[in-house]
Amino acid sequence: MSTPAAPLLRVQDLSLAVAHSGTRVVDRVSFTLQAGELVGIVGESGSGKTLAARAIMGLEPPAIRRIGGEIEFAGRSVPAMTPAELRDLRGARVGMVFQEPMTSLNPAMRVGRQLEEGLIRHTKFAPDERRRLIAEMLLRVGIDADAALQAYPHEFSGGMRQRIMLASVMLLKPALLLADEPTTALDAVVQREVIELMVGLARDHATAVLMISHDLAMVARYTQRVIVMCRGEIVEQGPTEQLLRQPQHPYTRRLLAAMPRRSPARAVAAAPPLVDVRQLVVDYGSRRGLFGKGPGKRALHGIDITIQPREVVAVVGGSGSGKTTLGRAIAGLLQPSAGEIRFDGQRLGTTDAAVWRDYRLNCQMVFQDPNSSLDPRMSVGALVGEALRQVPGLSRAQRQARIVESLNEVGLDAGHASRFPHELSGGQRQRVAIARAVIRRPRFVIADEPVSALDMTVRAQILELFAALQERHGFACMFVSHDLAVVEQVADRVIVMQDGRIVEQGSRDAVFDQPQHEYTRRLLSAIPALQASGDGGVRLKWRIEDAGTAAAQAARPLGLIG
Amino acid sequence: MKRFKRRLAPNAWIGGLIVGSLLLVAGVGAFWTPYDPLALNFTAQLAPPGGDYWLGTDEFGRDVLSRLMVGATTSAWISLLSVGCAVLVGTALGVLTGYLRGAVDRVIMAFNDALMAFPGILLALGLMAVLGANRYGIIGALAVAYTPSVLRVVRGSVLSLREREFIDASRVMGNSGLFTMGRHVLPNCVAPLTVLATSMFGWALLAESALSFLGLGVPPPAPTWGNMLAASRSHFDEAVWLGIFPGICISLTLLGINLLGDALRDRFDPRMRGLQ
Repeated sequence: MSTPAAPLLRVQDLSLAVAHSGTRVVDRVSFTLQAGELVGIVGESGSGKTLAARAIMGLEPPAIRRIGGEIEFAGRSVPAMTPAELRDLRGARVGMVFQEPMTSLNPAMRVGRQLEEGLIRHTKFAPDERRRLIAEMLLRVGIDADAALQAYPHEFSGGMRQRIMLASVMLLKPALLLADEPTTALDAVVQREVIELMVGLARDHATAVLMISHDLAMVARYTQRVIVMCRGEIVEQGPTEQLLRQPQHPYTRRLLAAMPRRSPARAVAAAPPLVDVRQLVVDYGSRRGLFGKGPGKRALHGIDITIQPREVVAVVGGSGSGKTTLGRAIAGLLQPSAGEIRFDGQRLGTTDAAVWRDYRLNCQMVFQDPNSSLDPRMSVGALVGEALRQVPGLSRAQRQARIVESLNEVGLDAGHASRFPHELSGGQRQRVAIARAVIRRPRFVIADEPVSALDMTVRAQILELFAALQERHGFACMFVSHDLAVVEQVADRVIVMQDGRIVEQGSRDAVFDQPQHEYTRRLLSAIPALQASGDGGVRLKWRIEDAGTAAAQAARPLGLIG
Repeated sequence: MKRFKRRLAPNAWIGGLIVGSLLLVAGVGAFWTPYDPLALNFTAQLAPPGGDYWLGTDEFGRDVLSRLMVGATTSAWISLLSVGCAVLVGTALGVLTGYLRGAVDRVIMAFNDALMAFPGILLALGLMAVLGANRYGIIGALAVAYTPSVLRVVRGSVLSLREREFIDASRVMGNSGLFTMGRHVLPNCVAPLTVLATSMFGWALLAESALSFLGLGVPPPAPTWGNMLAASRSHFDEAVWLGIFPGICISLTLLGINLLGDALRDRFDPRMRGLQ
């Protein structure tokens, strides 16, 4: 790297603390950003990455105090600015894109007005000129300007809203763009489009980008330098390529090692299917008004699935693909409109109560968010033990022994039984949820995005635990996920869904290596992967080489080797 | 025990102290009072506090302290029973409508909204015309007046709770709807309910006073805090203690119950433990 004169942004020994307790949440953080540079901040939740970035705009929450350090933007000290100067800085010089496009646009304001707001505040353009600029920018982000200006945010999908957000920020041609998890809330295919748009726009206007993300692969693909944060401190920073190839700090190595990777294919013994779903249809009735039903929406259009004993079948797809509906219907949480589900050869949903009971005992579910799936008023022991209520003939002592045994199995000890969910970490909570699901020794487990609410390193542990339990108890599993990297690690067979239909299914290796359907290809090419290079580092891997990938390669900023 | 002591918040023991001593006074008052609360003594009309009568006497020479002690029992019973009935009925209906939704929900809520459209005191007045102006009439009237707000609050919490995944988790475990309601839905409604119930207890005390004030409460000569307060009005310029002491009793009780309610809510909610 050359040694340019004055950096655009210089953060020196920045420390932030919780005002009332004095706990440091950002500890002596120093980094610089050159004009036009793309830098990523990577870290898990609680690492202080978002707070550090917000402090650059003077937007730290009121409960957080800056207790030391300096922030200089274009040679001027940000903490020393008056509120009026800060307002001039925000938007005009430093723009920010937030994670959640559903909430970062004002739902009561037309898109045109929202786009105009910044221009009115920060520029002296005439109304005609403003309209021309807005139309140009909307065209650039791929949105039909005529229709969009008069529309409200709810009329757009998440990806479109994030484009509008980008447009509103980039209209002012800021020198620095802060992007806080800009694509985390979006679907895989949309993620790629939005991030490439962001990078493209930043290059057009020579805007520097500070991208905050937990997604290493994404950061690796688009940034020139990476800053790794852990518990408020920067543990390592350097050029992206080098940092990934030769991580120095143990935490960086742990992060890289936690990236999901493909496990060797297993052989699943051929057997009559345990779960056999035929022509499953689910319709959602529209909201019933006072005067009867409106037309419904078909969520699943006749799905056929079989799952063998001991087999892990992953169901992947974007939001709205029907994958979660499918899981819930098979779990019996939703009444299918048509079709049948057979478990162990017996048809469910007939009048035979014994069949249903047997299924209920043998089919369990792990939910996405352990904050929500555990009753906050019950102790861990009671939560796990509740599943045993349906098991006949257990004495109190036997039940207690089973609870402890299950907790041990998921890596918790008997002492955790008296704790409450809020006293546990996210990973521990998900362990409790898994213990609850497996304590009855079910033959079939449905896991609905079981790791998507967890941090990277925790995610790796939970996946490992899940695989170990599956190996030991031999339950069949339906693994619903949007995360291809996770699926690649756990699945024996993969089913790809789109708009309530199965578009492709096959063994994991076949689907990942020779995708047949167009949608599968798009999914796979949207998400970059990191592959272990053998010496503790990783390198970026393109899952599928396509035209888009080549374009993305070409779009990569200068200064990156390889 | 040590653990319990450490966690006992100041609002718990201050509230407990106030409510406890009031209950004690009411309990004693049921068996013994310094004077007969109904006995007239025309030699000591409007006697100021101090001397033979600690808290003075009213216009008929009746001992204010004795009347307060007996009145405490009546007032406490009326408030407790009316709030208790409202909470029981409102919670049952709220959980039912919130969990079942559909036609049951719509019918009950339409009825509930109609009830809520009346101001509480007006509703109570109308009901007392039917039920009769005695203590059971008051209890019934207040219970009916307060049930709709309990129902609303409970139904609201149930509606948000039933979208949480632990309700689905309970169903996947094979638990029946009734069990799920009792085990998972109801306990999670307790926090908003305690807050509401304690403030309703206060309203009930005041409403009893107001109804007595309007002459619809417990008929004289039986004392309640409310009718004592009401009667004091005509002698306010010459015997200010007649209004002050029942007033102090009502405010102290409200304070104590609110403190206790907050403490109870924190205690019932495992997430709040250890935060103090």
